[in-house]
Amino acid sequence: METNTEQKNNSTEFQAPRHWVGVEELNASYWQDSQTKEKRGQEFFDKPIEALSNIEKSDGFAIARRDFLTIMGASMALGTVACVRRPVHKIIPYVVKPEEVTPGVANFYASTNPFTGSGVVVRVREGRPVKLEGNELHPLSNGKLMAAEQAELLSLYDPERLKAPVSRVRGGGSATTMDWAKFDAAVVEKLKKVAAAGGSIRLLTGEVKSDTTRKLIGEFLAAVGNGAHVEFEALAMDDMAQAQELSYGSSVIPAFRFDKADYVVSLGADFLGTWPNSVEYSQAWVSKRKLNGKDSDLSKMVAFESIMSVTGANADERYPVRPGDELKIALAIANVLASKGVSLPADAQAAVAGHKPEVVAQEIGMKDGGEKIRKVAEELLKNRGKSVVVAGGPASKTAAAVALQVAANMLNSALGNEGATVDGTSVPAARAGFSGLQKLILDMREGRVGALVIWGANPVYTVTPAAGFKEALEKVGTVVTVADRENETALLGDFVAAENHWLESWGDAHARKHLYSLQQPVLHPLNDTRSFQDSLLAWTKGVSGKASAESWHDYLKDEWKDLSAKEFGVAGGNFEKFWETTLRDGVVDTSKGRGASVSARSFRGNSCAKLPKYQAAESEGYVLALYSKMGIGDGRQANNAWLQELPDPVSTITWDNYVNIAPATATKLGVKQDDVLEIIADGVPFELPVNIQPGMHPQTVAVAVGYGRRAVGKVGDGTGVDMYPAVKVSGEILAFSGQSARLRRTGRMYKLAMTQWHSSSEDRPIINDISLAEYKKDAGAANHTDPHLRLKEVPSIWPVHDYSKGYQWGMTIDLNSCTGCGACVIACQAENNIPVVGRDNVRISREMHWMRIDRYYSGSPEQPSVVFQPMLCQHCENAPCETVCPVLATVHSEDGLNQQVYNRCVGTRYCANNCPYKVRRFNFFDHWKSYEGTLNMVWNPEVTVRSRGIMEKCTFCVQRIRDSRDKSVLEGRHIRDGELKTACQQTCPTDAIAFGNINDKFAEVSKLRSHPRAFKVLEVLNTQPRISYMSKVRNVAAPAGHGHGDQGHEAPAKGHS
Amino acid sequence: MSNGQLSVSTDRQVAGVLGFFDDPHSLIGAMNRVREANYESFDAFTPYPVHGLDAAQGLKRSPLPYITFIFGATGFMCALALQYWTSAVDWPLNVGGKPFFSWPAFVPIMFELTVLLAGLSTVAGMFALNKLPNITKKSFDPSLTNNRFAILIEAPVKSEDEIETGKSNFKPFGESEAADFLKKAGASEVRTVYQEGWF
Repeated sequence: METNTEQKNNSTEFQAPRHWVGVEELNASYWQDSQTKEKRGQEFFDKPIEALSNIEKSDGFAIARRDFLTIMGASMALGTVACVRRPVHKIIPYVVKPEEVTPGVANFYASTNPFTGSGVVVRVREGRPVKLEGNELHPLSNGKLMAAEQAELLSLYDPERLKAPVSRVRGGGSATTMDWAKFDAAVVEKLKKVAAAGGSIRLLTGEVKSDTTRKLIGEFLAAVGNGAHVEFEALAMDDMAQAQELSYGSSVIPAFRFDKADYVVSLGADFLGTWPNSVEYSQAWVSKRKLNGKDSDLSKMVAFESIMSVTGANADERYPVRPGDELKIALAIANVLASKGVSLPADAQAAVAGHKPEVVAQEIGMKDGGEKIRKVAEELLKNRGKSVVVAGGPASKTAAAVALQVAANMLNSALGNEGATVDGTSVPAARAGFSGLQKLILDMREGRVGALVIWGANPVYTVTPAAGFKEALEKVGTVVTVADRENETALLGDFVAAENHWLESWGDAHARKHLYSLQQPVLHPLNDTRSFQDSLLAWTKGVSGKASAESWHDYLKDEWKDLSAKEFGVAGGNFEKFWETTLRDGVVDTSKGRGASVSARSFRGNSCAKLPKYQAAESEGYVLALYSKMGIGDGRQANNAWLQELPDPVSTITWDNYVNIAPATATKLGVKQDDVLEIIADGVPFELPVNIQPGMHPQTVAVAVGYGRRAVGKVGDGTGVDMYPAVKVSGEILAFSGQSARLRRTGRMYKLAMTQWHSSSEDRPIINDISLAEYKKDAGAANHTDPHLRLKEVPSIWPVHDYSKGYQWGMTIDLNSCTGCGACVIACQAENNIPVVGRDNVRISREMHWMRIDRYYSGSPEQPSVVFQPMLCQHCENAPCETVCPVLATVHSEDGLNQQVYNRCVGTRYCANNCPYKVRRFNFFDHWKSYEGTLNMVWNPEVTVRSRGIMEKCTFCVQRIRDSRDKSVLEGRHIRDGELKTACQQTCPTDAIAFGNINDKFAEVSKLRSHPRAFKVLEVLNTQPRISYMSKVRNVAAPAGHGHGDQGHEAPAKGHS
Repeated sequence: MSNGQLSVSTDRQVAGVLGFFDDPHSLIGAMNRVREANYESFDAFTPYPVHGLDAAQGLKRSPLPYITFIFGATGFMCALALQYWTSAVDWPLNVGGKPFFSWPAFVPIMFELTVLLAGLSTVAGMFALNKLPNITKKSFDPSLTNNRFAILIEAPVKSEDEIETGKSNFKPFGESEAADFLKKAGASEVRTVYQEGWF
C-alpha cells in the first residue's frame, strides 16, 4: 500500500477521479465550483424545473412551461365538458378456436429478416407477435439479435404505415387510395405502354438476400422485356467489395473469423456495432475475451478510428485519427512488415516505402506513435495466420476507401490471414453498391428509362443530392414504389404499392454458402398491403398474361422443391416433411460436414497499384467523418421510437444527431456542450448541437447519418439533421468521410437529450477494470480496484434471512464481454412494456429504461479507455428501497426478488431516492396513452402496463420465472440451469449476462459468482446485491488507468475523502 | 327553588350543614378542624382549586394512575401482538432483509396505541371515579363559583344495620351541633341543606 500513502501525502493536489463520465470532471475547478458542489450534493442530479427552463431557452420548444400548464388546464376543462361514459369493450371468445392457439400460451415461430438475413424467432400471443428474438438454430444469429432488429416489432405496428395502395399525380398533386385490382390494372397499363414503346424498365431494390426473389425479379424483367435490376444500399460496403474484386477477383464482403484471431487491428471498422453481421462478429470476438475458466489469455484489439465507435470503445488500445489516416496507418504497418522481411507485392513497394511509421505518426499526432505502429506490426507478425486487419464503414469510407481496403487485403494476405481468419469463399456475392445506381441515374437522366420500380430503397433521402437522383427521377415516365409508407422517394413517384412488413410475408434468405433460411408470416397483414413479390407476380401476370405461380407462397415452395433436391438431396416425396421441418427450424445449415469451406484466395499484386504514395494531409482545419448509429442505422427505421430513444452507447445521447468534437477542439472554438455549431462541409452548410466527445482527433468532426427524415412519420420527421447531403460522389463509391469542414459558432444552444449524467452513483467508485498483467499476477486483484470499498466483515445486529433453500435467483454480468451494444435495453423494453417518454422527458432524466448501460471513461480525454456497465435493479438482499417504502409496495419474495407491487404503490418515490444504484423509474405520466392505434398491439400481455404515479424497475423478468416454474411443476421437476433466461440475457450477443439459481452449485451463475473476477457494486454499503459483475480485464501491459497518466488506484480525492 | 336559592323547610330530610367562608385560609383551617373532629362525611366547595385543601380534607391518592397504567400496558401489548402476528406469523414479508419481527419498526405503532388507550382510559376513569356526569345536583349558592368557599358536613345515610346497632367510629352528626361547630370554626354563614333541594 505504498502508493496509497504516497497519494495521501500529496492530497492537497487535485486528483481527478479514475473513472469519469464527462471531461468536466477532470478539471479541479469543476469540483471547486459551488454550483457544481450543490448540484452534485442534491438528491437528484437534474432538477426538473432547472432542466425545463433550459429547454425553454433552447430552440424548438415553442411553448413555455407555464403556458403549457395553462393550456393543459384548459384542455382538461374542455375534456370534462365533453366527457362520455367509458366505452364498453367486450371480450369475445373464439367461435372456432384455431388449433394452435391456446389463450394465454405463446407460440413461437421461426422466421428470417430478409434485409439482414438473420434468423429470428417470433413470440406470438393470440395471433399477434409480441417479441422478436434470435433463432438459436441459425448459426449467424445463435439466438441473438441487435437492437435495431428487435425493434422491427414496433415498426410492424407503426400506425403510420400505408393502409392501401396509393396512386398520385406527380409534382405535389393529389393522392388517391385505391383497391388492388384497380391499382394493378393501372400499373400494368403503364408498364405495357412503356414496353410497347420499346422503353426500358428498371427495378431498383435494396440488397436482395433471397435467390428466389432474385429469380422472380428476373422473370418479371423478362416479361416486361428490356429491363435490368439494380441493387443499392446506402451504407453498403461496396468499397470492400470492389477491393475484393481487385485483390482476389471476387466481389464479396468476406466473413471475418474473430474467434480464430488472437490479434485484431481495426482500421475504422465498427464490426462490433454497426456492421451487418455484428451479432456474429461480437460473439466470435468475445469468445476470445472470456476469462471465466482457467484460461488466462485474451485476444488483443488495436483500433485506429476517426469516430468513437463501439468497437473502438472495446479495443485494448485505441488511437484517434482523422478520416483517411486509416490508410496511412495500414501502409505504415506494411512498411514495418516489409522491413522485417515480409514480402509484399512489387506494385506496393512505392506506396509502402514512403509510409515510414514515424512520419505517419508525426503527421497524425500520435505520441510515440512510430514505436506504437512498429509494435502493432510486430504483434501482427507474431500472430501470423491468427490475426486479422479489418477496415470499413462510413467513417473510414473516404475517397480513398478502396485503397484502404486493398491495403487491408494486402496485409491479411501477407500475414497468412486470408483463408484463416478472412473467409472470402463461403459468402454470397456482394451486388449492392453505388456503381449500379450511378449507371441507372445516367440512364434516367438521358431518358433511357421508361419505368422505374423501386423496392427497399429510398434514394431520394439516402443518396446525396450531388448524385442527381431526384432530377433524374423527373425524367422517368412511370415510377412505382413498393414501400410500407410514402417515403421521400415514393412522394415523387406515380404509384405506391403498399408493402407488408416482413413479419407479414413469406420469403427466404441465402446468407452463406449452404446456409438457407425461410421467412414465414406470423400474422395476417394488418392493413390492405401485399408483399413485394406478390406485387411482382401480379404485374408479371398482367403484362405477359401468365405467371409461374398463383401466389408468392406457391412460387417460393416450388423453388424450394428444386432447391431441396439440388442442395439438400431431399427426394420429391419427402419434400412436405422437409418443408415443415424447415419452417419449424427456420433454417437449413448443411455447411457442417462438408469439410472446410474456407480456402485461401491468391492475392493479385497488381491491385496494389491503387495504393497512393505518401502525402501529408493538412495539419490545420477540420475533416468531416459521417457514421451510422447502432439504432438508427441508415435511417430506415427512423419512425421507431424505441430506437430513437435508445441512448447511443458511447455518447449516451437520444433522439438527435449532433456534431462530435474533441475536448481540445471545443476549447479552441470556445464552445460548450449543446452549443449549436455551423458546419460547412465542402460548401454544404449544416447546423448541429455540439457533443464534446473524448477520444476524437482534434481535427475530426463526426456526425451521424440517418436523421432528419422528411417523410417517415410523426416520430422520425425532423428528428435531427439529414447529413446525407454531405456525402460526396467519388468515382464509383459514395465517400462518406474525408470532406474538409469549416466550423462556425452560431451562439445558440440546443439541449441534447443526454443520459450520461442521469442516475449518478454520487462519486462512489462503482466499476472495476484492471490490466491483463495485473490479472495474471493475481486473479483476485480484479476483485476490487478500490480496496477500501471492500465490505469488512461486520457482525449483523439482527439475524439474517436464510436464503439457502429453494430457488434463489441471481445474475452475473461480465464487463469483459459487454460491448455496450444496447441489445439488452431494447429486449427489456419489448419484454417489459417499457414506454417511450420522448425527447423532453429524457432531457429531465425521466427515461424509463429498466436496463441502462452506463459508460465510464478512464485515462486522458485525448485517448480514454472505456468501460460499459449494464445497470439494472440489483435485487439487493438488504434492499435500501424496501425499508423506506411507507406502504410496503416494494418487498422481497421468497426466491430473492425485489418486487414492486404496482397496486400498492402510492408514488412517494422514497425508494428511488434511497436506491444507491438509481435503477428505479417513476411514471410521471400515463405514457401508454401515446401508444395509438395498432401500436397498442405491441404490449406484452404478460406484463402490466403501468399507469401514472407509480414506481417500476427491473423484475428479473418475473413473468418468465413464473412461466418456467409452472412448466417445471407440471412436469414434476426442477427448473434446469439455462432453461430460464431473462430478456436481456437471452439477446445479449456476447453472453455477458448469466442468470440462474445461486443455490445450485453447478449453475453457470454460481460458478461465475465465485470467480475471482466477480465483485458487487458498492459492496461497502452492505446491500448484498444479487447481481455480481465480473471485472473488466484489458489486454494492456500497463495497469489500467495508469497508462495515460499518473492516477493511482485510490479513486476520489473529492467531496468525501 | 327559584333563583337558585334553596328553600329552607324543616319537614324535609336533612342533607347536611353548609358553612360559608370568605377566604381559603379560613377554609383550610376550618377543614382541618372538621377532619380532626372525625365527621363521617364532609366536602368542600371552592370557586377554584385551593392548594392544601386535599391534605386538610385528608383525601387519599386517586386510583386513576393505576387505570391509566393498565390500559396503557394493554395498548402496548395489543400493538406488539398485532404487529408480530401480522408481520411475522400470518403474512411474513421480507422487507429489505430485516427480520420479520423487527421491533424497532413497530415502535411508532406501539407508542401510539399505548398513548391512545392510556389517554382514553384516564379520561373515562376520571369521569367514573367522580361519578360524572351528574346533571341533577345543583349548586348551593352562586357565590360558591365566585368569591366564597364552603364546607358541607353531610348527614350520613345510614344502613339498617348501623341504625340498629348504633355503632360507629365516627363523630355522630347532629344538625345544630354541626352548625355550631362550623360557626366556631369561623364560618361567616351557616345553612342547613336538604336532600330535596339538593338532588
